[in-house]
Amino acid sequence: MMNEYQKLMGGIRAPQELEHRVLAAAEEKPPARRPMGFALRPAVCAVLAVVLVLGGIVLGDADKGEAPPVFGLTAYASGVGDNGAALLASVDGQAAETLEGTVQTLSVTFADGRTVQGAYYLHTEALKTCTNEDGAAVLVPALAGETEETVSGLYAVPEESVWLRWPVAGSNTVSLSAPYGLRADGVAFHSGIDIPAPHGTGVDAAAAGVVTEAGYDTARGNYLILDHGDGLTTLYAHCSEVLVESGVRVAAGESVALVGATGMATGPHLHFEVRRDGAAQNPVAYLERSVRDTLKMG
Amino acid sequence: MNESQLRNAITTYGDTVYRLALCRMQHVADAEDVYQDVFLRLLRQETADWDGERTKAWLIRTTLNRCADLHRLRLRRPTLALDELPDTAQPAEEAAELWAAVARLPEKLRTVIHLHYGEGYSTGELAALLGVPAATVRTRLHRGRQQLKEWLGGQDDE
Repeated sequence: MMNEYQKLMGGIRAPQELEHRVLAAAEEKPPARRPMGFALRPAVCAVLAVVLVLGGIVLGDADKGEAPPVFGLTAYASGVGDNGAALLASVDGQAAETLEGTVQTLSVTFADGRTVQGAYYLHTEALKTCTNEDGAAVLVPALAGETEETVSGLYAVPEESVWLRWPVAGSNTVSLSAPYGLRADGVAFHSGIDIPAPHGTGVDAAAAGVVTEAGYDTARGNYLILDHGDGLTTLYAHCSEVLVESGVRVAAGESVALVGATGMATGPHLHFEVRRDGAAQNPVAYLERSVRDTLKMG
Repeated sequence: MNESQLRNAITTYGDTVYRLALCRMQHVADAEDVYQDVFLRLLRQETADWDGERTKAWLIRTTLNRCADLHRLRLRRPTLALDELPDTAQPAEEAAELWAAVARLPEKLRTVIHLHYGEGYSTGELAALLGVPAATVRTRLHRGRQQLKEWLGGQDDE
């Protein structure tokens, strides 16, 4: 078996073009000092490119004895998330390890020059990119079973974040074939997540609020919309039955519908949306880590 | 090192660096980035008294280091399929299975398996190269072979 491996290796050669690229770069006098981040090819390194290009952060040149940025109270965001979160490239003054799992008051500067001050909970996360309807790339924590590329980084979430409850107690799967976001073709946008579950599984209110809409249309089937205040709304669609009427106030976790396949659905699942002032957000960004850890893509 | 020496080094060791980076990163573009980075660093080295083996050892160690650096920024990536490699002929089914099995191995086992069977380093040489005891190398090779045997069936042959 193992001499097969050696033969296999024999058939794998470095592309000629690679050699030319190196020699061309070598001809620059003096030879270019390359940052530790490596050259980026956006087409392939989409996630990393978003992270580093959004913030323009170079991680430091180890050859010159430059350490990667240390952390402190002034933070530079190299990526943004929904729900006010940010991926931190640097927080000058303290080491990342000492900040893990803590709440810090930070002044965060984003790539567009905007600065936000506040208390943030800091935690290292695996993050993936998704694209909002306006084309903006945001970072969101990756769930178990994620097949897209992820990056690991210090993720800062505002301490006063709104956290939502998971709406389908009987299922902990998020559909991998229909993730949130603008798809690669730039045309199809999935405004929420799909949660597969058997017909009739209970759907619970993700947070306390008022039912502003409860009805049926051909696309969403039986659906309802909850208003939680401050411009935050959630939508629950394709239900077999909606259990509450418009105008009713519900508590967080209260049963509001049953899973179905009404409207444009090929199988029983809940289509779950979170919107802030009408703009669709990735629902995963509104789930606390303890909840996210129970979920998987599938 | 001067440019003509670099050219020689690339001709002699380019494939070794590329294959190691590919095996380690499971990603063509990352392997290419590592390759480029490693040889440009070689150019900056004082290599006057280096023989071939020393150059190769430096290249392998540096490739592993750069892969480790880049890997820090990557998580949970799917393994690379053999037919995704550009400029490689359509592989035989067993070859694709073997590559896929090695790709599944945890990084420490995969590295020694690749360097021992793919590049022909002895356990002693690997120990010096990786900075671990020879016994550790032997254990990793043994575990790696066992795991591959479990996945692929067949003889646990040397």
